[in-house]
Amino acid sequence: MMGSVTANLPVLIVAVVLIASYLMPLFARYRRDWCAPTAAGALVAAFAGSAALAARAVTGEVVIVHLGGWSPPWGIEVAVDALTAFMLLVLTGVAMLILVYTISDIGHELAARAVGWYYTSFLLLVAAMLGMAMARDLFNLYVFIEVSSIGACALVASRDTEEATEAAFKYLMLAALGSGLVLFSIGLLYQVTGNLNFAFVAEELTLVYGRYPHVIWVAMCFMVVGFAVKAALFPLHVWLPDAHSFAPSPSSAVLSGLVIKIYAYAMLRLLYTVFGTQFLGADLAASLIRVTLLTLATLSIIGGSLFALVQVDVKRMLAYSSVAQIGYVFLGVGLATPSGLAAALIHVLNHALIKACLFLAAGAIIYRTGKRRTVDLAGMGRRMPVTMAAFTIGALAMIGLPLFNGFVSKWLLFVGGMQARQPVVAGVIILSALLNALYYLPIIWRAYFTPGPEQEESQVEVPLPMLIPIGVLALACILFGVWPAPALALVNQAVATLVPW
Amino acid sequence: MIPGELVPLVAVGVPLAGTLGLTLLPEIADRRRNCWTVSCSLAVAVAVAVAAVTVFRGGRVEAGPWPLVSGLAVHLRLDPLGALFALIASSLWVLATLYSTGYMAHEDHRRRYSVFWLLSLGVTMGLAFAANLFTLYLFYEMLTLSTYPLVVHAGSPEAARAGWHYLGYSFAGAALVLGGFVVLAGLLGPPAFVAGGAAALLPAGAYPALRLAFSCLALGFAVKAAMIPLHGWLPLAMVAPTPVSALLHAVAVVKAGVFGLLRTWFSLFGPETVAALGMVTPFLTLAAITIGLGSVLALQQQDLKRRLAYSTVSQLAYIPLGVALLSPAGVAGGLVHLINHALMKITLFFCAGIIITQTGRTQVNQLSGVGRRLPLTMLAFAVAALGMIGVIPVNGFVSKWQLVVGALHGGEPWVLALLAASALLNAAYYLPIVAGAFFREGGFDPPPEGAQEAPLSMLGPVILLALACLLTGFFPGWTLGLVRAVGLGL
Repeated sequence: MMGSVTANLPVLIVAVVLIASYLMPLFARYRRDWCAPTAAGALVAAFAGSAALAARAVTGEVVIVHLGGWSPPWGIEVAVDALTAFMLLVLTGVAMLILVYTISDIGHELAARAVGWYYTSFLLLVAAMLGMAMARDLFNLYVFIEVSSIGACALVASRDTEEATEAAFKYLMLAALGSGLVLFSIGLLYQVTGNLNFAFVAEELTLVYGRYPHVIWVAMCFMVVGFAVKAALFPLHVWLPDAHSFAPSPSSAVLSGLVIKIYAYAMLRLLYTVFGTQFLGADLAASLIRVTLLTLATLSIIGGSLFALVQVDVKRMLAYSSVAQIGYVFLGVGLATPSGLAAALIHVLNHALIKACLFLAAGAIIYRTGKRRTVDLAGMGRRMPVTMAAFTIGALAMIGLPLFNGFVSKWLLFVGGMQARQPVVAGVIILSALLNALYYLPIIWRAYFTPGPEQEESQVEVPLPMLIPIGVLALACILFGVWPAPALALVNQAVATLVPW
Repeated sequence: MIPGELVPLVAVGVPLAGTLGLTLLPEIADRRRNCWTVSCSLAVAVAVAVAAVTVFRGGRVEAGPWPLVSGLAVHLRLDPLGALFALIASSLWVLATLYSTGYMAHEDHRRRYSVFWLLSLGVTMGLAFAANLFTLYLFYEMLTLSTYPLVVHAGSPEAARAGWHYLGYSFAGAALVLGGFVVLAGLLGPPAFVAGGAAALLPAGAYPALRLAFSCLALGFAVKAAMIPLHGWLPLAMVAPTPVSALLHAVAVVKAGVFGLLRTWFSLFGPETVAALGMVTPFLTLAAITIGLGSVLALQQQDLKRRLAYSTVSQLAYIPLGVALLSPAGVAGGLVHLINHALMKITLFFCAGIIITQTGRTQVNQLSGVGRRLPLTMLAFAVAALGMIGVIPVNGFVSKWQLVVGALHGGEPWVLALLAASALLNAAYYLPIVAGAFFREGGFDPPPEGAQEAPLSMLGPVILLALACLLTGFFPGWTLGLVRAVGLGL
């Protein structure tokens, strides 16, 4: 029994979350108070499973499951290597914390009848992301992409206000466009290789590259653009600010912290394992795609920050900041050097922690005071000391001060830039840090040094179940800044298995 | 005897841990809080003194390195230059802490003030102990954050404006430092501080990049050292409470900038490399302009603290000037001015603080006859002011004399004219204050019988410091011996 559990652990992780998701509407109808514990239990179980897998993957072991015993190319293959294990840990860990926060917060934000469905879409989204992380064939990857799109749109739409519906619709349209491009790319790949399993496609591609170079380039371009839309790379980010700011705060945290990252991961996985040599090659097409990635990433970093600078709504500002931060991940991918790739991956973790912390803290402030505008946060340091402390830590980490986790990403990115002989990366990083400081520090300054309105002097800290996730995320930002070694071990293992440099 | 690994941890860790203790004390527990801050700063001063003695005897004081990520490590180690800075900062911190217990007694937010006061001490010690550029950058950045709440303490719109300038200038400076760090790291890996310069061995092919790195680092540190035209934040930051102005803006923060410049000059590049890069003349020019223009600007200020601030701008540049003269006497002059200027300027600021709290006057032209009301304070002020001008036997003369010798040895005789002009300007903006305070009528009464002119916690440090200015002037061998030992270790 135990043996079959360990052997099928990857599948079980997805299954647990998926089943919990399907149970939610039932519970919501007949046993409403079972919803939250079941959802939390499912994610805790998934996190434990991911941790067990990560412990195996960090040594270089790859856990492979052939569903139903059918081996590829006929059967479905699921595998957990260091990269997947890393993503699983980030996804389940952060999602778990966000869910704990959700339990107290969501009743405040949604109509009672929507709460059960909210858990359904939340868990569906998490399950789909976990599935994307471990899928090893193009078809299943695509299925999970679509499922996660639907889950994410549902999370935005759950608010049932006019703005949220419009934002969700916009999101749905552009997400569909992105998936369409990815599907197109998958179609082209299937046409030239006749396979869907990553390993087989990659093998075929090297054989047929000489015969169909243009088809493969087009496939690669569609793939990059499709995922860039879904990951909100500037200037394809237009859907993100609305979707992330009108959604309930836990949704914003999960969308900004995790969802855009998983698409970046999917692109990274495909570019490096499926396209492998075609992407990393020295020919014109490959270098053009890499340069395009670098350019878009740079635009994203600068543009996202500039847009964030002029926002008055704190959640909208955080959303634009996500556009800037996803640029870091794409920058690392585009650099195509070991350190660059490590930076991209570690930033997936770091930004997930930071942005979730910031969105949850902003959500806590909205929960208690209803204040969304940055100028209204005066005196908040006194009224909500713990929340504001966490927000401050998150903001400093975002700016990238040393001893916060954001700095680790930036440093690795810089080393990666040097390895790729792109010193301009260093300038981009420093400029971005300054821009970040420009829009985060005023908020902190107001919260601590400007007295708030007279009648609002009492402390109004949120309930403990909301405070704990915020605090844990903030502490994690410091922990991974001071002691990044465990995360780096997994990341370095992932980089080593991804590309044999 | 404390082992060498422990001292850095004590010096940096005690204040940082001490802030936690402070946050637990309630706002009204002033006595306990004051005891706590004074004893923390005293502990640091003792630890630093022990460490400095060890270092000057050739021992090792080192903690770490604690690796962070791919080659970056936090590493604390004291070398003679660091020991000099740590000694000055930690000993003056004790006096300033005493002084601020008196000064702050009637201000609001005293707990917040003490927390960031101690935090800044720990961060400053971190700067002094930093063994590589990364650690230095780390604490340089933290210094901005930990001193910012002290600068905006008043919470007025004016303080807010000053705060923005402070943050803007400081972050831009830190970004430049980071840029220089990144360029250097690209050339030789994350650079550690080495006597003679870590970059000294690089081939001439790397010179363009080195030039870029040096410019970035020098300008980045020059922001905190308030060299013109990067000085804009300093006069504005005078809205801070006077102990903060005294300590942070005459000693710790601005000297941290100067210390960064010295580190860049000696421990990263080495004077020969800087000369080979052709960066000496620009550096010297910048220092000379700062000295001249700073004095002229000081002359125009009517606000006492702002006048002192511009005087700081001008006087601080003596240190890079001495260093850039490229002669041992010049280096000694620069380094000894690090000590002397700290002593004189903190005395002046403390006196200004007493004047402000006791009489409420802030403008220079309101101070006629104030010597009648505050005789001891104004006496101390006079001593330090004479030192600034460079009159024998106050310690300022020692610095100037060394710089003159250094300029002649270094073949830059025009520096003599500059120093003379600066002395003249100093006289023009300090002497009227002193003369007016004692020899003109201004409606001040002598202090009532039996009453002190200021609480002992404020007057005591002032008198001690004025005596120190005189002693180091009478016995220049003490300080010169120290800086020569430092110079040998560079």
